Amino acid sequence: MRIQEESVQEWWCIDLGQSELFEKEVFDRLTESFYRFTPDVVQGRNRIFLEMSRTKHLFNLNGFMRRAEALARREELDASLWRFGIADTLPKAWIQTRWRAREARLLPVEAYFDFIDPLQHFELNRSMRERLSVFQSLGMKNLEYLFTVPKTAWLVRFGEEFDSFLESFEFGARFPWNRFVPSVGLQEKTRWNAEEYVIDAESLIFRLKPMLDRMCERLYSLRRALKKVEIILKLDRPVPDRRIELNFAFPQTSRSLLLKLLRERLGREMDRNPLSDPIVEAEIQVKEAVKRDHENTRFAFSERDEIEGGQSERWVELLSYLGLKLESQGQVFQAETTEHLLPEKSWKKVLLSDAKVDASLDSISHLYAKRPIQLFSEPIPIFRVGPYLKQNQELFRICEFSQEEHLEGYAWDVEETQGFDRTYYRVKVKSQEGHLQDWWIYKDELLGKLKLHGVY
Amino acid sequence: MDPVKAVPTLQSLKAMLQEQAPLRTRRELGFLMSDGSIPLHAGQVIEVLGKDQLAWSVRFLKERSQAKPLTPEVSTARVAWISSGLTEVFPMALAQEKIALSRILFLERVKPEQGMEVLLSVLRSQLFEVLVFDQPLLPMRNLDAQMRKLQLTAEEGGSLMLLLSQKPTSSFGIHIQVVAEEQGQAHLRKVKGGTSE
Repeated sequence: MRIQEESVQEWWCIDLGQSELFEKEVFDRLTESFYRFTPDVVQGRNRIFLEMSRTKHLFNLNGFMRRAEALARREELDASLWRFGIADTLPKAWIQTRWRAREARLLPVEAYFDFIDPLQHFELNRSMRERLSVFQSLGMKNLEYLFTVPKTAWLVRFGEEFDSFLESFEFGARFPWNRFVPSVGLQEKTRWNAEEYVIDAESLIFRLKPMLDRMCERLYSLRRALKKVEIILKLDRPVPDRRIELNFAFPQTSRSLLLKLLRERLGREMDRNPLSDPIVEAEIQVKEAVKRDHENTRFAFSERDEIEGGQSERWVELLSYLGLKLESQGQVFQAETTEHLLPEKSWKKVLLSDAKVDASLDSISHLYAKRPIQLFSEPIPIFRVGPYLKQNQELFRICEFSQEEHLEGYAWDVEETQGFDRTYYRVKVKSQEGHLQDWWIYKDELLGKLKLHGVY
Repeated sequence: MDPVKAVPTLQSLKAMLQEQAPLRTRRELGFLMSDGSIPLHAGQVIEVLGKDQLAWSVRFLKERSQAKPLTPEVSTARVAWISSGLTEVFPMALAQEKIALSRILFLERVKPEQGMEVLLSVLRSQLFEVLVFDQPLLPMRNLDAQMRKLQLTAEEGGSLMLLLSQKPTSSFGIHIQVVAEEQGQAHLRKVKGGTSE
């Protein structure tokens, strides 16, 4: 019989060690940054709890503390006051952090309220102090005393409050603590004086860089990558904000690349449309962020390529750069064959094609007769005049021709194939200057017209 | 007082420099298909002229992917095909020639004013063994200097460049000129440092 074991939890508590409440936005950002250690994060009053049972093997406490200090510096907090504790339940992790005692039953009775509300409790209020005075009047020195009397007696006396204590003390691992969900949107804003005279791309980049760094840090914590971002610039005059949108062909995580792309784009933008007044406020808003997936970048690169060093990263960097540089969508692509009967639709533009494409080549491309090297997106009308083909008022003598293939759209799929019926010919023609050309033409059997569709 | 040292002559300095300088080895990339005696090196520019230039280029890519002695390497050769609009190629034809489409990056309708920047960024990525591009993408001004820049970047990344032209480009940077005529006929027009027509 298979025995299902109850998973053992491991809670790490970080107490920020001060009584005053932090600014909510700063505290939320800090809490969010702990996502890099585990997705199970619980936020309390000036304290953060991490359920590390699944990820503890990736970090040791010393390394964790150093990284936590780095996160604190980023938010300009003093990590020297921070205290850490580890236990198998969240309340005990807090107890361990606050009281530094392994044996909970030997804690002073003041710890009673730490168990009742380990997320919020910090200072005792009047009713709490009264309760403690009751305990003291009964001669109780530590929590052990609470267990020397039958629990029912306490439950009758203190009701829900003692029930909460018991639940937290004995069954803390089963309690579904509310996980932290970031409420701060992925945006960064900064403001400065008009006298600083930020009016060109280079000085703006200096302002944007710290914001971009913070944004990347947040995205890293959230395991997200940037897909679309908007930069909003407010000028020192009541005019509409200047908005610059950046779409990345590939989700971006690299700070250096983002900065490079941003510099490029802002430089171009400012050259085209110089600013009339200095900028006084800049905001970076993430419009689209996707799950960070390293597998995406491995396409078209063999293991050997990876060993040779960072080729997939360079690939992503290049395509992102070109995607921004060329502006128009679809100018940078790879090709993939499709099973469509119409030659012009027999391939499609893709990015991130993978090794499977190579295999599919043989299964599709050999089904058709030899296709021309160049295909005209709009077939050119031609006319037959005796032994000549007339194209654009120019006559070409037919030297040789052969029927290549007959393509016909399915009667049941008129919408997709547009009910076409074409007979393709390969025709060798000679121009009046004597140049030979190899044409791929078809006769539209429905309209009875000839069209030049490609050149071999 | 220090003994008076002999002042070295320019010739002796040059000789000393040449002695000390490491030999610059060019990365070999096989041979030109139509004439196996012409070795190909990274950074070379092959200008392809004539009506059949696209077909010749496709054949060149195909033969390079099957060439010896680079068989295990070149089967994974990556190609960047950059076009201003004149030399767009039909991918199905490439697939029929057994050229892996997933290894080709197409850049279409690139504006001539962006040409140099795009070419350099593609070369700098050091991802592509062959770069195919057309003449309008080359700058009109200061062509020799720009070609030199392309060559150095290509040499560093081990790339070879195919320049598809309507008219011969007058630049010292062109190493080999091939004229691809009708019916698959092609002949060499110029080989830098070798014979020319």
